Amino acid sequence: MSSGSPHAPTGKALFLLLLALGVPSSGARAQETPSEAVQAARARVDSLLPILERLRERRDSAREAERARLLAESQFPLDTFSVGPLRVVSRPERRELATGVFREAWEGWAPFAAGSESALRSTLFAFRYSSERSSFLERERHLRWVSVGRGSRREAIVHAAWLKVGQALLGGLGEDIREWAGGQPVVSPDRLPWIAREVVSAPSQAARRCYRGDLAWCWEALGLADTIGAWERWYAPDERRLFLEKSGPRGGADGHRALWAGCVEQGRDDACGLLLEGMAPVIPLSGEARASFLLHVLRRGGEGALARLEAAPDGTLRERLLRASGEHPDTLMASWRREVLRAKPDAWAGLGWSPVLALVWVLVFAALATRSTRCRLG
Amino acid sequence: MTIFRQLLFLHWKGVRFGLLPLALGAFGLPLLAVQGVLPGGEIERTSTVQAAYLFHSLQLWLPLFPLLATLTGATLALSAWNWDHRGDHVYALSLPLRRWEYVLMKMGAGILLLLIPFLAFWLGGVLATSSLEIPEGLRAYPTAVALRFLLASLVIFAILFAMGAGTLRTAVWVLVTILAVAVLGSSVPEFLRGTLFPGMPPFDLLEWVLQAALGWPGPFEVMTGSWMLVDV
Repeated sequence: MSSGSPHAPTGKALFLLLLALGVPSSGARAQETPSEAVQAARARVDSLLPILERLRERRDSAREAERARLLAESQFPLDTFSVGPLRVVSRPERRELATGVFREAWEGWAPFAAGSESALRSTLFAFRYSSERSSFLERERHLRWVSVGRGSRREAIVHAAWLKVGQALLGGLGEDIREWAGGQPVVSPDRLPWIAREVVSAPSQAARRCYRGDLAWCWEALGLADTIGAWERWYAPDERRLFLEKSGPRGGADGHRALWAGCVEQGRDDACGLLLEGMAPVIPLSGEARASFLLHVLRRGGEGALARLEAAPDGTLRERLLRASGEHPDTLMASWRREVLRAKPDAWAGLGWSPVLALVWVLVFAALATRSTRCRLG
Repeated sequence: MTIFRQLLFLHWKGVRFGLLPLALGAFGLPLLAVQGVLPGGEIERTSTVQAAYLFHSLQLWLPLFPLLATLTGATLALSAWNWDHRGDHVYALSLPLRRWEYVLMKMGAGILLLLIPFLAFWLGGVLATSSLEIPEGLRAYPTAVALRFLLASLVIFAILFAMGAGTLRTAVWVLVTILAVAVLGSSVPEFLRGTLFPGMPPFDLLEWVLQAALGWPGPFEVMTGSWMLVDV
């Protein structure tokens, strides 16, 4: 929608602008030493940044104008309002509910998101009930829907809003962090029991050592360590075999199939090793587990943690996370491990009261059975 | 007591061919759920790989546990009134009992018969988990899952038993009401809000009923707990 706006600069236009201003002429290049050329190129690129920022601002305001025009022309009456740094759109009759819900959702993020509100600038949150008709807003790229059932409890609505706000906030993090967190850097706390199951049952010696309490291996299991030799460090031979068994033989080459059969069916480690040689190591714990660690880092880091994470693009991911948390590696990892393992599900949960409850229901239905029409006829 | 024994015998006679396969299924299901992870394969597995196989296998079979509990409760409840319906409920009138005593005795007999598949399920669970090498960090919960099986089948039994105790007209009314809520529960409140009562707060009857039935203290709350035979 907004990409069609006449005021919005396209990626191609920006590229051409950079090319025209940033590439030095060949004549000038011949007279400069390499380091001077680099310095000059850097200075030119730096001089372009304010232009780029101005263009971005123009693009955002163009998008905003387009959005406002569409809202005004919409056949559905909609209300746009601000809740803290969030901009929310809903039907006018839901404004009060949406305001309360998004205020609570923002309070969940505010403690460690202070200073990073700009990530929310181009996002519009739309609140609606899932049974309501869709509108033109469906096509809006920067819109995040909080769509809930009509009978949903308030806590469930707040939770849905909390997730969307988190996705918008953390969506602005670097590509490497988002990729590391499995593309979805926000995980719901009610997934923690499943993450606990994963820490216990992931087919990886790194995860197993983490479960046993060796904190250095937790960093490995989360993929926050050197990836050189990672297949061997993270996975024991039969774990590597399981991985290859699950992924199946790739391609139709006979040699590859023979290697795969040798690895999976005959249990030959050398065949497994050859197959894994060209493959990037797969991090033992899932994106969900990694996202839970990211959230834990931000919580531990407290005020400004997100801004610290964003402000330090240099260094390894581990170093950046540590900087954001402001804690010692062992303290940070021990607290995450404790939190996850504490959330492990209790198989007996509810069974204390369930027999009583079942008995009550049995008595209720027994009473109904004795009061049936046939009884009264009898 | 003699009458109760006779009623129990009658129920058993009427349901045995339906109940025995269910009891066998209850015994076999936990064993089937772990069959792929029993030790003895050609390639030895470490405990992490064993845990991964175990979780994968259990999650595949998991939905069948509450389904079997539902089938068991339904079979026993619907068979309880078979003979009465066939004889137009005359037999009950011939007994020296008040109707409510008769109903409760019938229900008691059904609950007693319910213990057969429960015990089969528990034994199957104990046997299945004891034949496993449980990986480090995991624990077997055959008793907890069997207890859940018993409670789930008990609640289903009680609901359908109460429905069966009524006339056909009552059963039809109940079923039609359930269907109506399922089909119209979302759209009718919305229609009313849009036409007659614009000030009415948003409400979804179907979602409300589902939440009330599945959450505490709803009758199906027991179904929503963990059915994992082996868990952390």
